[in-house]
Amino acid sequence: MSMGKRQRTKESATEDNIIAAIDAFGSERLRWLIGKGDILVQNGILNDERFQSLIDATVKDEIERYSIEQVLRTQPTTITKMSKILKIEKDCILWHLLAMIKWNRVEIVGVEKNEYVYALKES
Amino acid sequence: MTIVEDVTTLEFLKPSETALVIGGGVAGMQASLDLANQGFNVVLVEKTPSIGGAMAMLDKTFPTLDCSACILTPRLSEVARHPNIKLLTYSEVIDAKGEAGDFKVRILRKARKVLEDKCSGCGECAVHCPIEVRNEFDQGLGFRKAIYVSFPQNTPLVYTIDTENCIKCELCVKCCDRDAIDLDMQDKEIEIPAGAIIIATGYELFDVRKYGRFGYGRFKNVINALEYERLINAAGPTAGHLMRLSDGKIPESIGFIQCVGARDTSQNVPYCSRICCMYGIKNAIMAKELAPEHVKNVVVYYTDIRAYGKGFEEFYNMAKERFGIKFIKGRVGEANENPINGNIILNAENIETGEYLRHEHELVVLCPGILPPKELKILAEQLGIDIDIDGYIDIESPITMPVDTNVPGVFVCGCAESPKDIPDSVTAGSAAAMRASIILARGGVY
Repeated sequence: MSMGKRQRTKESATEDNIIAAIDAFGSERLRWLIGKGDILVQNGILNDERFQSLIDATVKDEIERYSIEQVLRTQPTTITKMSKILKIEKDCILWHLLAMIKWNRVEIVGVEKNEYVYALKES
Repeated sequence: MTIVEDVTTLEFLKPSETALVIGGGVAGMQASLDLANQGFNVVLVEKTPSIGGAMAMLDKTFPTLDCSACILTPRLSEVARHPNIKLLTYSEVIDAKGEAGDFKVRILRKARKVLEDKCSGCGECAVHCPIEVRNEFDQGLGFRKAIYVSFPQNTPLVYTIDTENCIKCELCVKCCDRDAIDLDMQDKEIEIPAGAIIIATGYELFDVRKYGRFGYGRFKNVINALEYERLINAAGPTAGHLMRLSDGKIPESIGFIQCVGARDTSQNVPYCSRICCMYGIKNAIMAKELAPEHVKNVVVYYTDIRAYGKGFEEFYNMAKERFGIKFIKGRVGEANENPINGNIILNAENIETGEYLRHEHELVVLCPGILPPKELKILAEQLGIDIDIDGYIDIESPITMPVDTNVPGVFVCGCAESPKDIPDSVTAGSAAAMRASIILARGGVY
């Protein structure tokens, strides 16, 4: 799912968040963890606490990363602009981008003033 | 393409023809190749999943600014493919008994949970693994999965499962076309014979957190030199784009602080680490090379600049004259953070002019000294070899026997003996190989 170029209002921000959550829960990573989680806990491989902590962290990561993807689908941009749109701290966005660079979802395509411009990687 | 081979067996080894090399860094690899090329068998034991050592993490080398990976990778390949070298990665020496010419060494082969003879290194398992953790090879600045290779030229190119973080969800097992994953694999011990042993265990960095006043761990824009190397490395977490960690901006002003954890009796490191001045200058030059339009001000705060080697003084002068790097003689007293922009404010004294300085930098890089690895003391105890007052392996004589330990048949090279740069480590590797080959050439007679 993607959003076209439009002004980001409160309603559209909520809609974007919902779309990011839908995309996140559609990802293999979350589907597998949630699907396998019960079995792993029942078999004693994971305890409830560790599993819950893992799920919470993964859900947060995936939703925020899909939100970043939403923004980049509109146009390549910098961390400062992403932070302003998504209301996520810059260092947090940077860590997500480092992961997304590693997993080939994002790349650096230019420089704007003293910031790098990030874009979705063509698959 | 990986050719599936029979599982490596070591039963054919004879102590009179075999050397054991402990440590797969540049010194250990050199020693292994020099021995193997003479026709002797070499067992190379490396505790991490790949050979390569610290050099694999570096971006460029000094004073030539050669690409570190470009020099190292052919060596990795040569060692891995050499018919006389048996590579035991992800393994550790537990014990050694015997004497020169006839040692018996017990080695712990840690369980990778991946079959080395089946894994082709395709990476399909890592693509699907749901567990993401910080990558130690990138000094925690990048990510890897619970099933991983540390870097693209990982040798051997076999994945390893990090059992501490793996949740045994078995997605990797499902994805692997070659059935190379074995989650039930256990550690095992083997014993091998060896006529000579070479210790090449390398170094670790001084923990810069011990200098709380520099703000490492508190301020995001204070990093250490190895983190900086990974940031500027094209295969690193930022694909070679220099940026600071608080906001991803390209830093306009960078400060390098030398002698962090070196020449400091209060931290039990009274000695000079030999390489820090040169790698500090190298890193300062790289900042200007990578982003010349953005990086305007690079300052190195130093105690002394020790540019002792061939081409080193010229390299230092090039940094000043061609790249405009500023050098301030004076140790930094304290670092504070500007809460508005995350910049780091350094308080220092220029002892040449007597001026007190308060400089603001967007990024500060601490250049730590080097130490012997923590496990070296245990290894030394197991082998019965002496350690010097600084924790390095002691040698019989720096002039006449610079690679011989107090135990006949056991030799040392590289940074396991004392701080050294890459050329000196390679030279020491060859020297240790030569000394070891005397025993082996005599059929194991010392």
